[in-house]
Amino acid sequence: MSPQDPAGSPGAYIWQDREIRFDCHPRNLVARPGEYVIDSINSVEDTKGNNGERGSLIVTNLRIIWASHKKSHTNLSIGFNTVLSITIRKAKSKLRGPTSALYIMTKFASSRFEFIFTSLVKSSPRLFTSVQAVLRAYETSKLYRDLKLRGSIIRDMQLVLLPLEQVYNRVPDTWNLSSDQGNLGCFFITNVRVVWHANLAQNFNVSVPYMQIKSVKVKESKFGRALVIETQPKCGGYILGFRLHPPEQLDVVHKEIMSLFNIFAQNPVFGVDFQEEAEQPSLDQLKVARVDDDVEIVDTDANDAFAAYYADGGQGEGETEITFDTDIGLATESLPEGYTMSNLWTVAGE
Amino acid sequence: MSLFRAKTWWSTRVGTDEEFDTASLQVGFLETNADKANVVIGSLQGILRVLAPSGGDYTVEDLLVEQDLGEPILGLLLGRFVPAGEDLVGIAVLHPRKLAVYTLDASAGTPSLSLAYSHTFQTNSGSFTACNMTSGPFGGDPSRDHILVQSMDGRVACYEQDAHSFTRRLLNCLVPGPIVYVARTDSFVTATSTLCLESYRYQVLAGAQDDPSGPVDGGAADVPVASASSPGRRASVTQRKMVATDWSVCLGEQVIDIKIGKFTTPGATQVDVLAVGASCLFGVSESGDIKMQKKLDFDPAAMTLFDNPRGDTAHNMILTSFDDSMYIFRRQQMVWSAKLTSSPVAVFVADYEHRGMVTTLDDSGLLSVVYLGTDPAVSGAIVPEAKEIDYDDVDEEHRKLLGIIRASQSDARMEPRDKIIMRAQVPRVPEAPGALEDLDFHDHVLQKCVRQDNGMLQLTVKLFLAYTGSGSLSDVSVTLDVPECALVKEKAFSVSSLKGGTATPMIIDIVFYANAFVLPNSNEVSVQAMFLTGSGEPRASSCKFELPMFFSTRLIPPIKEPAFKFKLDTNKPPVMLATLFDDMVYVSGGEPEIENSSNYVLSFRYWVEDETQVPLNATILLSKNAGRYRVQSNYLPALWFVGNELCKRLKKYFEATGGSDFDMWYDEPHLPLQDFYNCIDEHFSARVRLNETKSLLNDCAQQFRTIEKRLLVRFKDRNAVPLQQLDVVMAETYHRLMGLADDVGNTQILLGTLSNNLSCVTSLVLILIKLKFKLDEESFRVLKAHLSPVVNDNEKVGWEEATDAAMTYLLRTVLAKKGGGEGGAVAALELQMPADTTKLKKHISIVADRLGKGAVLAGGEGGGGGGEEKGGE
Repeated sequence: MSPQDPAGSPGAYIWQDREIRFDCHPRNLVARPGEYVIDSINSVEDTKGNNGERGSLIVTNLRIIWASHKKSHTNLSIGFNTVLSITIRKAKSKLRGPTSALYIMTKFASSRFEFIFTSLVKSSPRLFTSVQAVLRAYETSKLYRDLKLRGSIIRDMQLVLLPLEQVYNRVPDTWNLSSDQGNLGCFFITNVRVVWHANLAQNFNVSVPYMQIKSVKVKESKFGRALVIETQPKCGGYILGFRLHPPEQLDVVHKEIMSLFNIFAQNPVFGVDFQEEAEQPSLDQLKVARVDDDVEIVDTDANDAFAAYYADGGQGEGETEITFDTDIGLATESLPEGYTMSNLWTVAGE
Repeated sequence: MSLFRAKTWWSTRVGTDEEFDTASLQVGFLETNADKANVVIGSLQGILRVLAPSGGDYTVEDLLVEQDLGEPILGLLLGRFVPAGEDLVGIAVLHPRKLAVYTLDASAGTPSLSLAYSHTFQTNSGSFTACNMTSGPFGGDPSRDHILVQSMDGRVACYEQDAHSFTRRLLNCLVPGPIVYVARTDSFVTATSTLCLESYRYQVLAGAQDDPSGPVDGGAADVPVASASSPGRRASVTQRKMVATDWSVCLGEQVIDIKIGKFTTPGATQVDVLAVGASCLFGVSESGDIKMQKKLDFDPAAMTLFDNPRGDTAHNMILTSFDDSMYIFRRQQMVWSAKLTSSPVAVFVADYEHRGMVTTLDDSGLLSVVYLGTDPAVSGAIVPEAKEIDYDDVDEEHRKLLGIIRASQSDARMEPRDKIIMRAQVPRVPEAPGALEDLDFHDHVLQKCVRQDNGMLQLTVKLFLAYTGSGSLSDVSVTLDVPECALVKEKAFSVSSLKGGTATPMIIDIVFYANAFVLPNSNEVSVQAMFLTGSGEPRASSCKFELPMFFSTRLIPPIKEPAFKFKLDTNKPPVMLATLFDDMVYVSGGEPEIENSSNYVLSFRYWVEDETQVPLNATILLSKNAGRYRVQSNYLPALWFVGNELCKRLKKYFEATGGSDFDMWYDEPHLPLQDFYNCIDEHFSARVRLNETKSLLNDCAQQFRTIEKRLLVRFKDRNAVPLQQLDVVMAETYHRLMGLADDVGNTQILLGTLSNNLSCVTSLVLILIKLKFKLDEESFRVLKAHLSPVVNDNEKVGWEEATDAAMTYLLRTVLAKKGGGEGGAVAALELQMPADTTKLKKHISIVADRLGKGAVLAGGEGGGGGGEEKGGE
């Protein structure tokens, strides 16, 4: 959770939908290029971590932001990519008593976090509908944002286009240099991504959205000059090499990809499409954004704001050792010396 | 609900907008020499995926193949389906109209699927739509797996790899159920819509008569047909044989899934058919006997068997439920359960990097590989230390809450603190008479005032108004309720603004004038102030005070007027009258005649005169040797005011001197009812007279109007006839009319006086009844409510009929002879002026009589109504 983001420069990591941030600087709550606010709901309580405090819940196309009305430094930013499930259940709120609440189960950095939001406006389903609809739109548009290998994205040698996608160029006779012998394939350059697929096997393909590209370079390889696309370390840090058939074309394609990368990595098409049912254009004009003083308090203490949100009491997953239990016949979390699954079960079962 | 959770080792969501079912998941080794299992998933939207779970976070490389097959995938099977090599694992994919077998080819750097062969379901007549399938070494062929596809209408088609072998119709199949192959007995077990398990031997199926409508193999599209003649050959061997079940057993439940394994009996070589129903788990032996039945306390969703390393049986079982849990059974015993993150519809146990991992898939495509966590699930308890507490905030909130709690705990509604406090200061000595000229009274009011030394007898009471709230009030309206014997200029006025807080109270002078024509009945004045609080809430406050006695009477030298009298006995030594009436004695200014005798006799003179211009007096005499007081007067109503004043002062005196056991009573044998009746008669006759006079006035007015009309006609007429003394008649009538109007006016004034007298006498009788029969306050209140001293005559209802009705009511309810008051069956009669007052007198007498006999009006019996005669005869 670095406090500084060189946001805006191409190749910068887009964290907004991938991370959960607690009590971050209000600067980080401002929508990045390509991100826009879909709904803003006032009087929402963060029932789990700040029970009793009113705040506003902002739903963008990438994340859910909750900020306390009282202290803007008390806030949450929950990227949609971390969301595992959303349910509506009963919760107990200090401000409203027992009420229906939005439970968001998330997983981030091998920890599970649970968030509970309660709308303090009586019988207002907006909190539930907005978040659910946007999350669904986000989940069904992963190809806009995620690197994909071996996907079923090519049909009859043609790229299956996404709804907001436009093909800018198709470059035949492109060699993928991943294996030793190289594969002849075809490049598709669109406003969202760069796609290569093998001519012989449609299943052998790669789809790289611009926002996952770290850099685009021309490098010397053992096959001669090649176009090298490096992806973000967070999505694997792959280095993809391509050789183009007439070597002169390499520079043209490189320039084209480079300029598109500069545009769309800064201002990406995130693909989260939505339609507001009851549009209120006047509200946007009337709305005065929350102004925050630009004072950053350097927190010397360990930041433990997230402690309240642990869904499993802070026990990370994957840290425990996995053993095979010969009694049950399944993999289990390893037990301390002297304990067996059956005596644990008999204790718990009683 | 388990205490434990399943921990996720690896998880991803496959597909978007896709649906998955129990048959959509297969886990197994796709290469014979592989050590890690692969997951094969086919969605109902037709996308086939092969994944290689790697642990930790999902990476793009975990997806090996993703291919859109273009048709819905109803089921998947892994097995030795490929004829070319036994080491190749085939993926059998069931589409609604097609069965296809693929292999995974990883040799070309990137893994890809290649089609081994496919069968299109084509029938000679009608359609063959696939429902589900099963596979195994049918007929005991150890090297190959065959596939049996069941159609939606209960036919089964058997494929020996790339060849179609036969198609048969199952018996009694309406809706196809799950079907499995039992290798040990070489038979198929399926669940039917008749809630039964049925077993068909493969040999019987294969040897039965061919179903004429069975699918004709469309031919293996991709590989050459090895042998197409085998079904025909078999049919000829076992000709004309019918399809028959091997065994059938009724379970009585819709079966969700069937698995084959060694589960119920330890060490047995026989396998069990395990069928999970909607609420029970059944274990059926391979010969069709139910060996086990277990009721499940959850809704099962998916089932799988896995190796039991303990060795007492071959397999253990996992059942998942729709409440996000999985349950692990060893034989009939639950040995573990764990909470999952979703409700899986398909579950498998496989070895990845670790042995015995559980693979689950839910209907929306959440694929997870989990293991059993041993830490109890922690409920999402909030860690209070996690947030720094703002103590000022907490303190403020605490204070606020305490305030709310305190306000809500006092059950009575809090009287607002801002109110008006009123206090009256009544002068203790008479003031100088007011000048006549100062008054702007109307003449008729002025005439009523008592004159004294060329002025008006007046009394100025200071009324203090104070507002306790902050700010100021505007438009406070003050109203006075003044007894008839006193007159004020205005009975209501408004205060435009009243300052609150610690401001000096506002002082208002109220000047009272004595009424020379009304015998004092009461001397109590009540004042009401009405205002709106700052919040617009209307509120009122009131205060009461008594006008001093010297405002109504004055002392005169003792006189003897014993026409009417009553005597009060007390149980205390006599109190000098001069002490009791010290204020009056003081006011009289030390007149020797009064002074000398004032201890034992005092005569009071009212301002009022009777009809013969004789001033009305009342005298109190005190017995010299006992606490016995006599009140006497020549005019009955005049006894009331002075007598009442005596009672009040006696009570007050003994209360002040600590005589708590003070008692007084009326000790005559009879109540002065006859005098009371006379008074009633007088009042009643005045009412009758008034009515008569009014009637005359009405007739006269009628006559006057008629004459007037005739005269008008004559005057209008051009050729008028002579008046014929009609003008004289008119003048006469007019005089008479005037006279009658005066009569009515006088009668009304007389009636007013008599009403007041009646009121005084009623009050007197009431107090005498109280003293004689020693009524308690509550009974006295009831009696007073019925025998009302408020005489208010109007056109509709007069005192007599109202009181008669009240007396009748008393007699029929609380004073009823035989306690028959409960029914309350007293018909409400319309009140009418009676012809005479005998009935009323009779009723009053009976009431007095019954009270004398000890009847109780209120209290004692708890709630009135059912009062009973005590004492009695």
